[in-house]
Order: sequence, then C-alpha cells, then structure tokens
Amino acid sequence: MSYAIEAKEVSVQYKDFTAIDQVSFQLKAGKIHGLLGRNGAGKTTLLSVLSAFRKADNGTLTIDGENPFENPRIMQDTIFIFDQQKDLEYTYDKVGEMLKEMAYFRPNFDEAYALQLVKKFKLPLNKKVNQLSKGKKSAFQAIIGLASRAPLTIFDEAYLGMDAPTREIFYKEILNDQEEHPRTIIFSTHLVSEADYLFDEVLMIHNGKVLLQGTNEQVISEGFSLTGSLEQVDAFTEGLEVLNSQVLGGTKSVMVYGGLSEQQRIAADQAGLEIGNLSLHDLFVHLTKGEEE
Amino acid sequence: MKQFHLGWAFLIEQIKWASWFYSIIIVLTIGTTIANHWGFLDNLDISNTTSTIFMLIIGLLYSYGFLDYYYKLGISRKMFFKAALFASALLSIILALAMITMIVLFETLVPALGFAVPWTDPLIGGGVLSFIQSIADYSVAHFFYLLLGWFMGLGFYRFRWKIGLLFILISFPFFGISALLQDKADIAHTIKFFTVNLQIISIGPYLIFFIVIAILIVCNYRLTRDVPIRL
Repeated sequence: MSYAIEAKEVSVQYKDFTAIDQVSFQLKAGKIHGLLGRNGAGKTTLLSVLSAFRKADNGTLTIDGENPFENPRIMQDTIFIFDQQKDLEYTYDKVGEMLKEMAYFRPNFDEAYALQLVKKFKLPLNKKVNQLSKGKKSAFQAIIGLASRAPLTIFDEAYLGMDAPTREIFYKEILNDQEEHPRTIIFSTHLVSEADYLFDEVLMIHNGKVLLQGTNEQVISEGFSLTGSLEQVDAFTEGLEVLNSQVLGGTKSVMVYGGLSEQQRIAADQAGLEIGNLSLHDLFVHLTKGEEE
Repeated sequence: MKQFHLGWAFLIEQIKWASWFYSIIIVLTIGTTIANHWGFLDNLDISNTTSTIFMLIIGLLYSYGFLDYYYKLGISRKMFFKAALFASALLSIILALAMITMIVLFETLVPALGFAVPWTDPLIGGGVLSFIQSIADYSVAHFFYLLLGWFMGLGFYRFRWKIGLLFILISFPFFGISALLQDKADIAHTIKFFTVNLQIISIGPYLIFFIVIAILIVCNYRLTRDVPIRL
C-alpha cells in the first residue's frame, strides 16, 4: 500500500519568515522521491506539514485523497524519521523492547524484518537506546522507518552519524524492501551524489519554492556540459543559461541549464564541442548556489 | 492502536513513575517517623502536598514527554488527549487509594512498633466516611493539579518560554481557588469538602472544583488539538 500526495499553494510562515512559499506539487504513490534543498530551503518544514506535525498556514494538502491533519488513518500510516538524537538520549528502554513496542503502533510493522536489520546494522538488542552511539541511534531509527512499512515513509537526513558502509547498507535496504513492499518514500538529503541512484523522482526546493520536479532522468536531462575551445564554447552558449564555467589554457568547460534540441546537438558536434551529462549533484549545487557564491 | 489500549498503555507508564514516587515517599515517611520519635521533627505531614506536587509535575511533562512521544508513533492529538484524560482520572483515583492505604498502614503499624505517627488528626479515628471523604478529596485534588500542570506545560510547549511564563501567572488564580477550597489549616488528610457534620456531604466546594476542572479540560483540549509538534 502506498499513498499519493498533492500539495496546492501550501505556505508556512514563522513570524516574519516564509519557510514555504505557495508550494504546489504532486508525488506519485509507490515511488522513492528525493527531496533536495540546501540548509534552510524549507525541506524539514515541508516534511513536518506532510507528516501533520504542524498545519500549513495556507493552501491545501491531501495524502491518499484526504487532509492528513488529525486524520488517524493517515497519521498511523505515515512515519517521519528525522534526527531524534536528543529524544533518544532519554529513551531508557532496550533496543529489542522498543522494536517490539512498535508493533502496537504501526500496523504493518514487521518484527522479523526489524530483527534482520538489527543484525545487518550490528545493533545490540540488549543495550539501552540512550547508550547507543550517534551512528547506531540513527541506524535504530532507520530500522524503525524501514520495518514499519508505512504507506508514506519519510526519511529526513536519517543517515546522520552513520559511517559510509552503514549508509550503503541503509540505501540498499531501501531499494530491496521497496521492491518487495512498495510504498511512497520521501528521502531528504544533502548527500546527493551518494544517494541519487535511489530516486525515482526528484523534488528540488530553494528558498521555500519548488525549483525543479520530475523523474530523475527528466531532471538530469535539464542540464548538460560542453567542453571545447574557449571561443567556440562562448559562441555556442550565447543566450543559454550557464551554471558554471572553468577555463584551462585555451579550453573551456561549462555547465548549461536547459534542454538541448537535436539541431543544437548537431551544431555542437560540428563545432567540435564535447557534450556531456550533468549529475544530479552538479545540478543541485549550481542551481541552488547564491549569487555571491 | 485502539483508543482504549492507548489509555491503558498511558496509565501503566504513569504508574511506573508513580511507583518510584511512592517508594521515595515511603522512605521519607519512615525517616520522618524515626526523626519525630527522636525529637528531630515534630508533627510533619509530607504526603498531602507531595502527591499533588507529583501530579503537577506529571502534568507538566504531558506535552514534552507523552504528547511528543505518542505523536511520533502515529497517534493523533485528539486520540492522545482522550487517552491522557482517561489515564489522568484513573491515576488520580489510584494514587488516592494508594495514599490512603499507605496512611492507614502507617497509622496501624507505626504505633505497634513503639513509634509515634508523625502527624496529627489520624485518619483511622474518623470512621468509614472519613476514608471515603479522603479518597474523594485526594482524587479530586490530584486530578486538578495534574490538569493544571498539563495546562502550564502546554503553554511552554506551544508558545515557548516567554508566553509559557504567562501561563504560570494565569495558573495562580487556579492555585488560589484550590487553596480556598481546601482547608489549609488542617493539612492532615482532609480537604474539608464535607460540612462540620460528617454525615452530610457539602456539595458546594465539589461543584466549584468540578467547574474549574471542566474549564481546565476545555483549555487543555483547545491548546492540544492543533499544537505544532516539536522536531
């Protein structure tokens, strides 16, 4: 089971600061959506509205066709995993006990799968949660997020404190379990280059607004790189949106935002320019950087 | 999770906390009895005040501890509120029963061991009506203080510390009403809800208490129903 999401003109205001500014988007059910944005872009605020932690000040939001706010069905089926290191400092129950307790609250919680993950993440079942290291606490939360198999699963930088091999296990588990038990997953991250292969679709937000949305392939095809002689590159990119450029001797390499028509592609070939693809990471970095950066 | 199960789970968690509190109170009362016997202390009753303070603290923790915890497990605010109210009412009665049992045991066992009970106006001298009266009085007072603590905690949780402090100020009249309704001159075990004639129950103070409790329940619900959950 998985839930589709539709947001129309959703806004959230903190006193004078607009964290989310009339954001509209649709997220398809059963897909892994990458939510990308820089610090302060409004990712966590958006996720807290999706998980009904707070009400949107304006606009409408529907999850599986219903308003999620104080909706017991949607709330029970939504899990929001975020950095809860502080809360877990006061969790005196043992890992095993906590995982057992989850079954009372999460209808799809698979305890056997949770125990498999405990082994993979090398968590001690008999240790109290507050005594776990930062990385192990994150792994513990990741286990809850995965084993709950909630129709809407939200991971907001859930990997904080995990080392690279543990993050790799986490990413693989997301893909493996999603294949067997499809659900709607929103994965918010800064580590774009590391996690981009997870995403079916991408939602990029910047300064509280939607910057880009589409399938991973569609978003990546919005940018390309060009490499060639300085004069030819300058001539070709006139009128195009150049995100970044580097010059080495007489050679120039640029990153361009915008699709490339077949005609332009042929022209670039004829001019001896080398066309390359941009990564999601490149697009993210250069589309969201400020003018002063 | 079903509403009923949530209420029980909530109550069990609170009883775990209360058992710690009672262990401490028993140790303190034993200490007080011994100190009283040797003349270090005289006529000290700690139980009445401490149990209401305990309830006040439990109430203060409702938002930061319980609401936060259960919400993150997928429980709606409304469901939490109902469960909290159910658990609070039951806890108030259970603690009152535990308190009275503890007092009666002390008043029976302590003199048998050759010590003097460290408070005046012993409960066991008042008859059955005195027991019922004390259980009712303790239950109402416990519930009232828990709701008041919950109210103050919600002020801090919802509006942060500046407006939270204002909620403490708003609570002062409630404490005043409670003090007026309770006879502070006689802090032994009774809150004087009864008239001088112990055969006739005075309904007036109970009514006022129930109205104040109803106001607190409405306020707490309105503050809870759309409170943003802290990340």
